[in-house]
Amino acid sequence: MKKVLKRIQASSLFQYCSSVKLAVPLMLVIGAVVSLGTFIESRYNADYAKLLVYNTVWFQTLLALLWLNIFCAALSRYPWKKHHTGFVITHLGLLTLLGGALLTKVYGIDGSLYVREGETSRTVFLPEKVIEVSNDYFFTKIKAPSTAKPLSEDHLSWVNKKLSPYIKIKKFYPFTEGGQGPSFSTEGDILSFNIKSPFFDQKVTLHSKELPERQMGPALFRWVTKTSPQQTTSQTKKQPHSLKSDMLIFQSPSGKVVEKVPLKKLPITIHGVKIELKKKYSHAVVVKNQITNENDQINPAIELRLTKEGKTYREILYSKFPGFSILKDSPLPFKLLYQAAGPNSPSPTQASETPLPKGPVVEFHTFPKKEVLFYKNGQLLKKQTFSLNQKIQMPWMNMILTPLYLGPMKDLKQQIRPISPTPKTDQLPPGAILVQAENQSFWLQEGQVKEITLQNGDPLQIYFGPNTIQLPFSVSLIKFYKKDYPGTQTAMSFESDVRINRTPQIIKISMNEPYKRDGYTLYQSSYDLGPPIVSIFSVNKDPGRPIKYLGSIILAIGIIIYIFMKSRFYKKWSSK
Amino acid sequence: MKSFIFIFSLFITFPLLAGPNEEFLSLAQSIQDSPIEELPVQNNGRLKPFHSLARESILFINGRYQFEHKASAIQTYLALIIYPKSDQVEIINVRNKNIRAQLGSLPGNKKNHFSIKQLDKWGLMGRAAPLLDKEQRNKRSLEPEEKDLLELYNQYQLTKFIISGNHFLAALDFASLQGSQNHGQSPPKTLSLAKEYLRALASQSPNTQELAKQLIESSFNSPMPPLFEKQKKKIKIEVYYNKLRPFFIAALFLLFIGLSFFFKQAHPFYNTLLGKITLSIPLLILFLGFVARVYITGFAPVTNMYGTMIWVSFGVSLFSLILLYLYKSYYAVGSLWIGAGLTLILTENLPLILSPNMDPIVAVLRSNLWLTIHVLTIVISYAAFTITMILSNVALVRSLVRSDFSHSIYKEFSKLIYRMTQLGVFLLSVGIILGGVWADYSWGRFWGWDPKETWALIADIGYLAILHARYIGWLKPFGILLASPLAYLLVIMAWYGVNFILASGLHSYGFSSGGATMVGIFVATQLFLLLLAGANYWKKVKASSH
Repeated sequence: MKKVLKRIQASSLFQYCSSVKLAVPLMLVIGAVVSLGTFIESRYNADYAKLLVYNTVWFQTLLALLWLNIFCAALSRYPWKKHHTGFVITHLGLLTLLGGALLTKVYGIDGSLYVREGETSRTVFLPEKVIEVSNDYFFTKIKAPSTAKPLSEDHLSWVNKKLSPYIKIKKFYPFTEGGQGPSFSTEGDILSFNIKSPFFDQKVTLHSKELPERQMGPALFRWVTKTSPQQTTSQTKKQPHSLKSDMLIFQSPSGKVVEKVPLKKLPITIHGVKIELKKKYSHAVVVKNQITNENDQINPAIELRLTKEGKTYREILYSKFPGFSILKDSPLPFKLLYQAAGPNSPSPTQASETPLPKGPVVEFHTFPKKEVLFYKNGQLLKKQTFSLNQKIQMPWMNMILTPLYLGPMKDLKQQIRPISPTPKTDQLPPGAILVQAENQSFWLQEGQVKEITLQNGDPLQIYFGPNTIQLPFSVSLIKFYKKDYPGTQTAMSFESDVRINRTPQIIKISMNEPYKRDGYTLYQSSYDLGPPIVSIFSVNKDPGRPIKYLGSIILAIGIIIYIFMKSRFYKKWSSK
Repeated sequence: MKSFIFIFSLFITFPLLAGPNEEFLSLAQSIQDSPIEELPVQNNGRLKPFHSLARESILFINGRYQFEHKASAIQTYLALIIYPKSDQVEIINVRNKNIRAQLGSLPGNKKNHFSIKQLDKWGLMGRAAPLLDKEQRNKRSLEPEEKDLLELYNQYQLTKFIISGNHFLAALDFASLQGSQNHGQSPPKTLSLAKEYLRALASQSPNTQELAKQLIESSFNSPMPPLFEKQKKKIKIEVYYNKLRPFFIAALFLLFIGLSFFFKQAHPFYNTLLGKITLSIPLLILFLGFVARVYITGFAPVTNMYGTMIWVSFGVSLFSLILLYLYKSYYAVGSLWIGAGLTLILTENLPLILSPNMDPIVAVLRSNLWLTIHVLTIVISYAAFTITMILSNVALVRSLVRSDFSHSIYKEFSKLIYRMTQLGVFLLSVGIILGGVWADYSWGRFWGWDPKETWALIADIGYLAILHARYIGWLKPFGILLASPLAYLLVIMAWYGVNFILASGLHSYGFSSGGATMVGIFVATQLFLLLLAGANYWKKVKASSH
C-alpha cells in the first residue's frame, strides 16, 4: 500500500497536480471567471450569469480541477508530520466542503412553490428547463439544452435520440420574442403593434373579441373590426343614479367598496396618505396634458393630491371613466373612484360606450381597408393606411407606432424570433423550441403545453418549460401577512399561515422560521400582493448540508491551528 | 479652510447680500432650537427626536447639516416653514455638475444651491415627469444623470413639503398610523398645538418655549404603535448621541496618539499604566458610540456603509494594538492609527454618501444573532486587510523617499503584513461560511453565486493566492508589499463596489450611490504608487547586481 502511494507520489503527473504552482494560477483564474459572472449579473441578471458562467461545464471542470489539486496536495505530504497538522486539517475541510457542494449540486432540490391565498398546491418549480412528451402509454422527460446560443437540428440530435419517436426538435432558441400570452383564446384575431417614444417602448396587443380596445395612459387604442366592439364590452356593477353629494369611493383590489367619503370632508388622512381635493371640474377635458374645464359635455372630474412621506402624487378621477387613473404606483392599497352627485350623473357602466372620448384616440380599421386614424378632442388629426412593420409617426408626443402582427390568433405562435437578453432587466426572455410531429410543426414557448393528435389517432402532449416536482404533501395557504414598519410600506416581516395535507393544524412559516417535513424545507421567500395574494416559498432538499457544515467546521479549526502553530507562543511552548 | 471657503463664497454672493438668503438666515438664527429638539416624531418607520428628523431632512435638501454653516438644522427647518419667501431661498443642493451648469452656474462659480423658484423656472417638474415614469417601469434602467435628476426632484418635493408645514404635521400625526378607522376625525391635540407653536414662532411671540414644552409632552403621550412605544425612552439618548459625535472625538484621539508614536520620547510613556489607559481611550469612545447606536436602533450597527467604515476603523485600531504589543513597532502602528483616524473623519464628513441615519432594516436582516456574527466577522476581516494595505503603502513610500531603505526593513514589514493577512483570511473565510449558514437558514441555500458573496470569495482567494505564492517563493518580501495593496482592491470591490457600482443581487438592502470619483482616485493613486515603487525597486536591484 505504502509502495503504491510512494510510486504515485513520484509520478510527474501527480507532482504537477499537487503543486502549489498549479494552485496559484488556478485560484487566480477562478477568481477572474467568477468576477466576470458578477459583472454579467450586474449588467443583465442572475439567471444570465448562471447560464453563461456558473452553470457551465467548463466552470464546473475548473472547480473539479481545484478539488483534485487540493486532494493531491494533501496526499503528496503523506505520511503527515506534526508540522503538517494545520495544513492537512485546513485542506481536508476544504475538500469536505466542496464535496458537500457537489452532492447538493447533483442531488439537491432548490425550487419555488407558489400558493394563492385560499388555495392548495404541491407543485414545485425548479430552475432547470425540460421537454416532456406524454400520453396514456408513455412519458418521457429530458433536460432542455442549457445554453445561450440558438441550436439547429444538427446540434439537437442528443435530445431527439432520447425523445419520443413521434416528435423531433428542429430548432432551439434560448431567448425569443413574439408569441403570445396564454390569456386569449385561440378563437378570433389579433392585432399587435408597438408604440415607442423617447420615454417608453411597449408592445400592445388587441384581440378582436376579448380586448378590442385598450386605454394606455391618456390614449385609447381601439380596433374597429367587422363586428362592433361595443357589443363585447363587459358590464360592471350598476351604481345608483342619483346621489345627493359627490363621493370619493375606496375600492379594495377585489372590487369591494371599503369606504365612501363625501368630497366635502376632504382633506382626510388614510393609511398615512393625506388626500386633498385640488380642484373639481364639471366639464373636464385634457388639453396639452393639462386638465381644464372647457368641455361642452358634462364630464365631472376631480383632481386630488395625495401626500405620503413628503412625496406627492397627483390623481385625476373621472366619474364617467372609473377605470382611468394616472397613478402608476399608488401609495394607497385601494382604488379610488369618483361618483358625481346629481341626477345627471351617468352610471359608470356607460364608460366604454361613449362614442369618442376627448382624449387622444387611435383607431384601427382592418376591413375593408387597413387604416389607422388618430383623433384628438373628437377631431380627426391624421388618417393613413398601414402595413406591418411600417413605422407610423403619431401626431402627438413624438410617438412612433409600428404594427407588428395582424391575423388569426391561432397562427400567431409562428411569429417567434430569436433575440438577445436586454440589459438591466430582471428576467430573461422565454426560450422556445420548434417541434416537428409527423407532418405538422409548431413553436412551443417556455411554459406552454400543446396537445396534438397523431395519425394513428393517439393524443400526444408536449410540454416545454421549467421542470416541476410534486411534494409528498400538500400546502394550503390560509392567510398571508405582511407587517410594515408603521407609516411606511417597508416590510418589517412577512409570514404565511398554512395547512399541510389539509389537516386543521395551522403552521406559521416566516422569514427566519422555515418549516421542515419529509426531508424538504419550506422557506418564506417572497410574495405577490396581487390580487390574488400569492405567497412564494422556496423549497429545498439538500443532502449535502451536513457534509458542508462538517467541512466548514474542519476548515475553521484547521486555519486556527495553522495560525497558532506559526505563532511565537507555540514555538516557545514546543521548544520547552 | 471652511471659514476661508465661507469668506470666499460671501465674496461671490456679495451682490445678493440683502436678498432672501440673508433675511432667511437671520430669521433662522433667531429661532431657539434647544426647546424643541427632543420632540418625538415618527418618520420612515421609526420614532425619533425632531433633532434627527431636521438633521436628516436638511442634510438631504442642503447637502449639509447647517444652512451656510450658520443656522442649525432645526433652525433651518423651522425657518423654512415660517419664512414667507422660502421658495426664493437658495437651499436646494444640486449635486450633479451638468445640472448645475444647465441651471446657469458657471464653471468657476461655486454656486451649488438653488431655490424652489429657480428650479421651477428651469422646468424641473417637466423634466422629472418622464423619468418618474421610467423609474416605475424599471428602476435599473435609469442612467446616473437621470438618477441625479430624480434625486433633485425628491429634494425639491421634500423642500416644498417642509415649507407647507405638512411634513412637520405628518411626523406628529400618530393617529393616522393606527389604521384607517381614524381618518376624518377632528385633528388631535398634538396637531393643533403644533400649528400654534408654528404661529408663535412666526409672530416671534414670547411663549414659544412654553408651547414647545407642551407640544413635546402632548406628542410623547399620544397613543402610538407598540414598536414606537418601546422607542420613546431612546429619544433623549439619540439627541445626545447626535450632538456628541463620538466617532469624531475618537478620530481626534487616534490622530493625536498616532502622531505621538513618531516621537521616540513618547514611547516610554506608553509602557506606563497611564500610557496604556491613554491608548484605550479612543477604543473606548468608539465602543461607546457603537453601544449607543445598538441601543437606539436595536440591531448591530453594520447595516450600511457608514456602520462598516466605523467598524473597520475600530478593527484597525484594535489590531494595531495587538501588533504594538507583539512587535513593538511604534512607527507602523502610528501610521495605522492615523489611517484609522483619517478614515473616521472622512466617514463623518460624507453623510450624503455614507448615511449615518438609523432607520429600520429590511425584513431579511431582522435576525440579530446572524446579522451580528456574520457581518461583524466579515467586516472585521476588512480591518485586517486594511492594515496590510496601509503598512504596504507606508513601506512602499518609504522605499521611494529613503535611499537607505534595505531588505531587512522590507522583511520586517512583510512579516507584519503576512501575519495580518493570515488573520484576515481566517476571519473572512469564517465570515463567508457564516454567511453561507445564514443564507442556508433563511433562504434555503448555502451558496448561490450572489455578487456580494462572490466578491467576498474573490477577495479571500486573492489573499490566499498571496499566501500560497509566498509559500513557494514566488513572492519575496518586496513582492508582498506590492501584492497586498493589489489584493486590497478586491476588498474595495467586495465592500464598496458591489453595493455602489454593481448594485445587483440579493444584498440589495445595502445599495447606494456616490463616492465613485473618490474611490476611483484612490484606486488610480494606488496603482500609480505600485508602478512607481516597483520600477524604483527593479532599478535598485539591477544597479546592485552590476
